[in-house]
Amino acid sequence: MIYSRTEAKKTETGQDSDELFHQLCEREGMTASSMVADLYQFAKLNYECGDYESALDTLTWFFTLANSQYNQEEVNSANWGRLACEILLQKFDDALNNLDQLRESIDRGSETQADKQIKRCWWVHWSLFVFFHHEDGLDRLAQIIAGSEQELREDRVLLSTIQNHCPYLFRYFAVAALLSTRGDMVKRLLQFITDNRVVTEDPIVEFLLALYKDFDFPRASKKLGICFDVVQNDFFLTGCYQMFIEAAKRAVLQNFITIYQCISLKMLAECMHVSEAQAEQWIVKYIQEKNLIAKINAKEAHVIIKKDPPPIHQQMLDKTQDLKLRSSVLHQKVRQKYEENQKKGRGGSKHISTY
Amino acid sequence: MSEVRFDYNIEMANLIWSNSSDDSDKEIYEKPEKPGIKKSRPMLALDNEETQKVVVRNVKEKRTKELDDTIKLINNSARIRDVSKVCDLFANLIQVFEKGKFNLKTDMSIGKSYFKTLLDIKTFINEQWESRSRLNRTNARALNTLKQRWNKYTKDFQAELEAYKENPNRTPEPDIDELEEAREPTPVDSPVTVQEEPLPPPASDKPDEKDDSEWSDETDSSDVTTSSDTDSDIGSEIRLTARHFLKSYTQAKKASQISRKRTTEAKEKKPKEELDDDKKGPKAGETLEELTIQRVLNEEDKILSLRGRTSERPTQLVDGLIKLQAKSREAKLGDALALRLCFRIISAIFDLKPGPINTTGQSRKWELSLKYVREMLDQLLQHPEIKLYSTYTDSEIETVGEEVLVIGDPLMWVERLNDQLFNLLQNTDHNSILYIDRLRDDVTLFVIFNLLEDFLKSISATPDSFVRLAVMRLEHHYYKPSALLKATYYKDETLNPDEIVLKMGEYVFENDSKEMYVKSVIFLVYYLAINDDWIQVQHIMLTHRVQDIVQQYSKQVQILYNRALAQLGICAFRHGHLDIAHDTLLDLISNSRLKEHLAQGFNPRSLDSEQEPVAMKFILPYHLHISVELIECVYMCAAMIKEVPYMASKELETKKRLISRLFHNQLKNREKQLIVGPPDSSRDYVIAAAYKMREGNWKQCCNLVLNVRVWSLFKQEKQVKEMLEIRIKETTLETYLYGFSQAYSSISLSSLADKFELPESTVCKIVSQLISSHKLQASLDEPSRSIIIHSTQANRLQQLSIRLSEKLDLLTSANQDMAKFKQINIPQEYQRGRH
Repeated sequence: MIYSRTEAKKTETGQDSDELFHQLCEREGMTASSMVADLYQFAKLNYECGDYESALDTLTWFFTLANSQYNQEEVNSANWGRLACEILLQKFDDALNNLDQLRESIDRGSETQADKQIKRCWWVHWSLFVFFHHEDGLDRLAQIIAGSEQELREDRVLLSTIQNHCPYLFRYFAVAALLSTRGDMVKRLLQFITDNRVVTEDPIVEFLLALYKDFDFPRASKKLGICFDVVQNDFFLTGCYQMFIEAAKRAVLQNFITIYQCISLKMLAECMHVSEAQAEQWIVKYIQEKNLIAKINAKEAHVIIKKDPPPIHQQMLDKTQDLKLRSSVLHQKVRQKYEENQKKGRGGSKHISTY
Repeated sequence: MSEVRFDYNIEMANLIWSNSSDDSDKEIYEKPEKPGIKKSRPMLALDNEETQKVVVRNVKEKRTKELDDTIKLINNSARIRDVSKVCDLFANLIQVFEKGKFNLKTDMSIGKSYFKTLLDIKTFINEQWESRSRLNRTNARALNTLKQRWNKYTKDFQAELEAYKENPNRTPEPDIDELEEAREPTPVDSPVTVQEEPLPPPASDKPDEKDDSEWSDETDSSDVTTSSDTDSDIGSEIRLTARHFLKSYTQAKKASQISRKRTTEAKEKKPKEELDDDKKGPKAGETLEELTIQRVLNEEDKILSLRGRTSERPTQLVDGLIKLQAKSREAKLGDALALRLCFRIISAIFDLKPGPINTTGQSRKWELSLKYVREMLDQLLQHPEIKLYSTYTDSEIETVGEEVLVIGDPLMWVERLNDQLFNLLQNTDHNSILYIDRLRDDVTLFVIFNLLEDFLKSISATPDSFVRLAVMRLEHHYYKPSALLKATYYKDETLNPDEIVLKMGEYVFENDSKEMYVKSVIFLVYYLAINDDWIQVQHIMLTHRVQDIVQQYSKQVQILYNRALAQLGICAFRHGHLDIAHDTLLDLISNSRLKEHLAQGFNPRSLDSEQEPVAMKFILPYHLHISVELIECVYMCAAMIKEVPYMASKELETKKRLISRLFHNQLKNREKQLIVGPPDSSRDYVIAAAYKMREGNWKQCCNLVLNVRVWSLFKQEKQVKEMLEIRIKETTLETYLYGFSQAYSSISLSSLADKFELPESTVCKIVSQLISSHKLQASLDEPSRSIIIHSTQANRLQQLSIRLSEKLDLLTSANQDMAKFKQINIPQEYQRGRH
């Protein structure tokens, strides 16, 4: 290929692709499409030789030159190529941006639903490389779960694609949901899983289901034991092993607290996979953080959680809270209607007077 | 030429006449009492000319005498002014004259006397008309009839009559050959119609045709019926009718034998007649050896040129072609020619007008088409050397070199055949044996599909053709359980019907992206749903997302989709996914037009006369129907299990959001009733069960639900019932906790488990779920295994203030409702109030 680095500099100055295209065409005397096509081939060659750096370079060139008239199919596959290079070169910031672009292009594409689904599957698989290496990655995964809840079509479609073709990937979503700073993510994910009857035998998903859906603590603890192994040995998850342990134990405790008012420390410790002393420490920590109003009965080795039902005045407040808003909406509606009727009444006053 | 018209028209008038009248006329046909004159029909009597002639004499004399007698009787009756009798006799006269087929050329005397009588009657009518006020009612009516008949009958040969009036000695001279040609169409249809209907309906024109031919061919038929002579003189209709039945009783057997013999004879003769006719002379047809390809092609052209003529019996075309094919085969003119004719025959059969829903005729047509389509495919497979042209490239050229050009598209004809079967089933009463016969043809059709597949493979057709074939096959497979497919079609051990169906579907997915694709997705969904493969169904629904695109397709596809949806809901129900079942069936069932959605019927009141035939067109044959009661019952059960605990949890709240409006309406209906009887329909059962569930009585609830008889429609009845029982227990427990927990301060888990016969872990799970979703104000006590209910004892002031807040809430809601529904007519309301 004949393009020098100087010209590459030029393109980086942000000229319009069409303009640049014409300039190059005039100077080099090359036909438009063949030139870009060569670039595409060259990038592919570089990629296959393992020279990802230059492949990425060439692809950047390619994207600058490929305008809207260019064969979109090649543009799309070049997109995948770019993503691959970025992942391999560990440029995860760029890759994250690229992922979004790629997803849009899949959604926009004109293939049949079945083909689109295959592409989406690939997308999710590749995206894991990025998500579990980028610091915002887990949030992004959680966002997809949240999106599906809010009836965002794309996210729903994505999740149902995963359900259909690769339900094992729910493991990563489960971890993302568990580690998410937003509290209700796990419930949302599980809601999707139960609503849509996702069939998966992943221990992490099963652990969450046992804990949040069936409240079967013994089973959850058994699954948790398996999860520790799984997380440690999973390519993507091994990095967040510590975080996972912490979050899982917290989740168990949290669920105990919401449901029970009196638990034996022994059982708690068993379910959390810790010693009784450690479990006691956890509780103490919780109480100190003011997350919990509870007392530990050391003699019986019980934790007694004090729970108050919402006070009556609170109930009343809840009930009357929206009255004002509703009344004002109603008032506005009536007023609007009334004015309309007035206008009409002037036109057809005879009609009204017959009453 | 005028003479020709004369004779032909007599025939026509005769036909009309016999159509409009009743048994008495036919009776007359059937009894040639007096010897008359009969004209031989040379073209039908090629082989036994001699014998025929002998008979002819006798009959001829008989007929003449009969005619004379009738004329005498007319004169007598006219003298005593018995108008009604004259009327009857006049009818008789026409019949007798017709029957005799007098040749006016040879028997001038008969012609003369006949015309004279006609004129006499006219005079008589005119006389009576003058003095009709004096006649009694019967006679007056008879006179009217007579006058009309006379005018009608003579209208067509008015000129001749006038001519006779002026010059009584001259008689018309009809040409024999032309006469015959004019009459020619009648015998042709007898082979078809007579064979189909051994006992033809009395009002049709078939009987006289039959008898007509009887008289022309059968030597002994005159003896058969000469017994009843003088009855016609009396002319009483009642007696004639009675005797008609008597006669049919005694002689029906004989007659039917005769007619059958006649049928077979005519069948053999008729196409020859056609050949003869076309070849200007009877002798040419006798030399079959002379048939060449070219001549057969010419014949074919001639027969086809009859197409579309209204005067022809439609079956004539078909029969002619069939005969031609047989001839050409006899003459060994090559398989290509036979195949070509086969295509012609098939196309001719399909061109036959659908006609009224005369299922007998239709089914014969169907059988014929089935036979020939199969023959066509057999031939094609046996003779791969025959080249097939799909379109009419050049209609002028019919042979390519030495070969005969074979034109046709087997795939298209098989598709037509397929549609034909569907239409037939649509229009056949599903209780009749015919319906079952047609269903049996499904197997033949399956064979045809296999043949077609072999053929398509042999010519290495485009994927498009295979797609069409696959969709046709799926159409016949999708509604059958796989065990049935195995037993009927795929008997071989190695064949797995599920795999075959899936493979067909996938083939279509790969090669088509339009209607065929959507259809086959729906077929697969339906098939997998009835065969209880929930995971596979879900996979297909998710992969192809037909629900997003089905709106763009034809109504037929949408109906299919609705049907698949119904089965999907039922399948989800069987697997215990009650909420999916509920959501799937909700749209189908919500506006009480379920039958319409499934094309299993419609409410005629909701459609006007124009829409109705359109709707009828979509109605599916009975064997495809899905039990509406089952769908309803499944839906109601799912709704009950969703709705009852929901209602219980929101009992204290004023604002309720409904999950299932239909279910609520049913509940309300029951509340309105003064006396609640025992449940009747499956819907009643479920509603009654819902009441029991609200009371926390799971046993009775269970009994009611499981007693519904529709569950026996499931193959997996036992599993479904077990599933239902568990779900009812769980749901009742939930409802019970909502309703009665306030009465307890603590409940032990084990007592609940005993009460509902559930394992303790399940109880624990349900309670935990309720606690965690804040539906139940309680918590669990782990050491004592019990539920602690957090009941809040409010003091008086608090209670009252809560009530107040609730009332406020209600008031606002009421205002809102008013604004919503009544469209706010506040000014008017006020004014109305004042007046």
